[in-house]
Amino acid sequence: MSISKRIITAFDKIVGFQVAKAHCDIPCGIYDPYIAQYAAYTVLRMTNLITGLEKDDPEYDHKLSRYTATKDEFAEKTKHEIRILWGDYFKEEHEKDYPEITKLVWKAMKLASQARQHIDEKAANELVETVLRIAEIFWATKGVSTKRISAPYPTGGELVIPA
Amino acid sequence: MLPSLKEGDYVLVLKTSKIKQNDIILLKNPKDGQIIVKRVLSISPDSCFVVGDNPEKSTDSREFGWVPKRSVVGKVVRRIA
Repeated sequence: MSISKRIITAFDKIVGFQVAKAHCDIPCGIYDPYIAQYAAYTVLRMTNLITGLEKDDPEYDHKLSRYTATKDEFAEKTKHEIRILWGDYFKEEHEKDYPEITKLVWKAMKLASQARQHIDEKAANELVETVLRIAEIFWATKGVSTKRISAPYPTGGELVIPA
Repeated sequence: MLPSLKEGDYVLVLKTSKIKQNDIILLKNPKDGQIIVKRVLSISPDSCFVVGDNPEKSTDSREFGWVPKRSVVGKVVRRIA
């Protein structure tokens, strides 16, 4: 424990600092397109980092390995999240109201595979946009209007959140 | 709020309503009034949308919606781990 932590802990025992919570107390986030979005952005970010590597970088192989591994992990995570939404949440009646949802899900799955298998910025960008569109439809099926906000990521772009 | 904050961490909070995207803030949970710590994803003139850094295990605006700014206690300026 650091000295500052020891001092603060001692004060805490005397004063009793306020406690702030950060975890969920009940089952939460069962169906939610937010994770799919940030996973897709991670795929894009890793792709950007890979294409931006300099061949004469002394750590080229090390960085390439790590970026590729992360890209692979998060492309699969994107697919996993979309699978959950598609298989567990979306229903037949949703397809009637939003017939494009089936093609969007297939497109997202295939783009994630493409981005995983290749260094493909076009596929990664299209993956992000496809996931954003799936997110909009998800919330629309719940009667929740959405808005696109600036994503706080180095890639830039947008996120879909409830309005 | 893993990995940014872990259980047992202390945070130094500046009491302010001047917050911006990406700030980690303390706020009152609109459902039960408990003090929670989350990150600001978006701000409108009167409210903010917050998300935990560990979204798979976070109850945040995805569940309880936009939070009025009057519920914001302050902004985390220092973490003591």
